[in-house]
Amino acid sequence: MTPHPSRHLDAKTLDRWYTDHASRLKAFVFGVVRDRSQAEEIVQATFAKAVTHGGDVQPGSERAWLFQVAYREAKLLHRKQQAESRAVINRLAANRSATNRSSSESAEIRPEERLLRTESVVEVRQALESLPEEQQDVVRLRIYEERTFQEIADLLELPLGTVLTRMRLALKTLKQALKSHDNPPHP
Amino acid sequence: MISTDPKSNDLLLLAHCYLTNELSGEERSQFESLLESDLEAQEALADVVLIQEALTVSTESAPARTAVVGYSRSRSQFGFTSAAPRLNPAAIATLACTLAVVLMSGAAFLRSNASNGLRSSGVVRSVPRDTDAQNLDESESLATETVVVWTELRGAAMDSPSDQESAISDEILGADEFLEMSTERESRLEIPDWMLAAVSFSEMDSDEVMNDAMSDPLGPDSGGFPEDEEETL
Repeated sequence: MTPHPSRHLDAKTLDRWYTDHASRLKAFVFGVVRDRSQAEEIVQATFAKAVTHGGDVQPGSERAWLFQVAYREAKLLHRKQQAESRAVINRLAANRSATNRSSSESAEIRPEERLLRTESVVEVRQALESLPEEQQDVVRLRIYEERTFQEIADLLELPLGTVLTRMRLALKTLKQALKSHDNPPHP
Repeated sequence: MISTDPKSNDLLLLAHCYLTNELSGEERSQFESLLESDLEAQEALADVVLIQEALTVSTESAPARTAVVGYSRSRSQFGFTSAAPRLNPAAIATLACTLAVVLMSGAAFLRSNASNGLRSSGVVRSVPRDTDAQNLDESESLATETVVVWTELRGAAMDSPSDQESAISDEILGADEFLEMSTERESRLEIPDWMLAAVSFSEMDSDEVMNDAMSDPLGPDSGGFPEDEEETL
């Protein structure tokens, strides 16, 4: 008995997959590799795999499939780079320097490189403004001043758990704002 | 610090700490094993990346941005687009007065130099001809600078709303009222007579120096101008 050859994905479905998932997939991969060009490269490799193997994916599970493939591609690239002694992904960097790098990269993003549409940026910022003051304080200290949770707790004279809870609630609200502009409806 | 157990900790917070490298080695490994197969963890990481980008892209801080947006809105109602600093007419007048005083002092200084030269040397003209030309240049330069500075100040003032206009910028203002207000402000900013007089005085002084220089018939080594022209200096 011969195995079934992988079924290719038709162009229409590929286009839909890309429209639905590329943006979030890129964000996810960026979270793993912390490099925009590499994230782009990995996402392209993922969709290249989708063209050749995507036909086998059960309908409705393409999102999980894409994220898993992308993660493996990221790990593969990482290992390849380690073997070649390229120190592009510096995961061992100190917390502060990594945070600073992330912020500075974000500040220098060209419009075409952005992961988010402008509408989503506006939506999230409005959501930040609408948060309760105590949550806003934590987010601002965390994101804009790049303080650790312990530093924030000391500064606000609060238990660490309270600060974490406020951050958690704030992230949930901001995520909802993000979702409101995510996944545009299909015709 | 943060447990990687999704039941006790929100994945979003965990992903946020992962993104900012605030997980210990063990926590990181656990979270990465989640990332390999758990769609929720993968989604959470994507979410925190997008949230981080939304809050930090193209701006240093949200509060500052909000302030700028508010300011721009009130200015745009009147069609002001210049980024020039706001200057009110009183400040402009003060600056103009200062410039005029400096200008007149400069002219007086030129006159004083010329007179002192005559008196101290006992000859009609002791200032060398090239110094005359230099003084002439300086005088012209002063006048030119005055006009340039005035023009710039006027331009800045025209771009900037007055205090009164700013105060009502958030209210509905009729076109006629605004036109009247703008005309009034424009008339306040016309070059005053004393400014023209100061510039004219400077030019007149420069002309005299130039005339003196041109009318010396004997050249630089002649010993100076005739006695009767000393009075005019």
